[in-house]
Amino acid sequence: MANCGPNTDEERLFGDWVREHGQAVRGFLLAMVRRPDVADDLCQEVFCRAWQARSRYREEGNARAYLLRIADRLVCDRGRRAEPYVNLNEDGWRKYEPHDSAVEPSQVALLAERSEELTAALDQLSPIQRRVLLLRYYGQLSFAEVATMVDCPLNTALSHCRRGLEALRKLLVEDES
Amino acid sequence: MNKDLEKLQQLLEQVTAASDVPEGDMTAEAASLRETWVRFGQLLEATPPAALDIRFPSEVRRVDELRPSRKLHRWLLSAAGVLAASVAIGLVVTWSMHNGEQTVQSSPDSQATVAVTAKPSAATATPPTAIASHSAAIKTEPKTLIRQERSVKETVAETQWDEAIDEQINQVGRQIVYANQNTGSSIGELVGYGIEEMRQDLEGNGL
Repeated sequence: MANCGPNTDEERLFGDWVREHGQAVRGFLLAMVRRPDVADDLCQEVFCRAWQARSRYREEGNARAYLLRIADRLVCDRGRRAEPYVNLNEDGWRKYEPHDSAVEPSQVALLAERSEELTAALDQLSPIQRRVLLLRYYGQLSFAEVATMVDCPLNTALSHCRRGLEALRKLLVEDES
Repeated sequence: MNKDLEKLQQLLEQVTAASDVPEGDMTAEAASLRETWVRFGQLLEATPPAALDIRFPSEVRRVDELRPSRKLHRWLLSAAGVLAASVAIGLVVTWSMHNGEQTVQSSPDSQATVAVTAKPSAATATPPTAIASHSAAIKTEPKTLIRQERSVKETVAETQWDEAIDEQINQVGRQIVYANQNTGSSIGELVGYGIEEMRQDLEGNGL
């Protein structure tokens, strides 16, 4: 949540944005870049840029879609400059995101297992499939909006979603059963 | 939009809906994909959510306030650069013009020097017409005259003898030099005149 207390209406609006959409934006970024430190930096950048362009933001629009659009572009720009993401093993996760000492060890192990499972699932997806599925999940955007955001035709976006789900099904449902 | 595309869109919207969807409303394939989607969401939510630390971008305001002065600073630097370049160009042009004036001014002096040195002595009757035509030719080529003037001066300084024969030799030499520089003059006449005089003097003096 925002560190500064709301002094003006604008700061209050900014705080509302963070409270309502901060976790979704960070979740999207974390799933895309797979680095908590990078996701945090990008998250701050997303809200800064959204704030700078607030005069252009249309109130009738979808705030989360607006924020996710900025997040998606930042991730794409970062991907052009560096590796998209780095898979972290258990030690790496512990280094970047140490668990609260109050959490039970069994819970820690479960969380680590889930993280590995998520990493394996995301590895099944191509970058564009990952973008489509994550924008749909975190933004609850229509497929037309998703197609606009990833700059492809609607039928292509639907195809990416379908193939991504089939790849995930093979790993998450069929292998488990 | 064709029917297949519409069916696919409806299927995927049902499968990936945020709210729960009754399984009875879905086909077997849709139910399978829905199970995958729910499982995927559980994995995403299972990642330990870190406490969000999003700071209000108060520094954005400072950047906005600084921007106008930064623009002014850049404008001032550009203007100063243009002014300095203009001054430098003006100085170069003035210097080159001043040098050009000095070069033109030296021409009349060289003409006067030629006129003095070309004055016929008592021993030799240099035809005035040759000298006059030669001087006219000199006047039309001031640049060439400058180089000639320097070489002539050096020749005069080195070969200043008191004896008349040496004066004649000098005079002839100058005429030959001038004649060689000026293709329009009657070279044969000048050269022939000076050499003939020399021959006569040499034979007469027994040198």
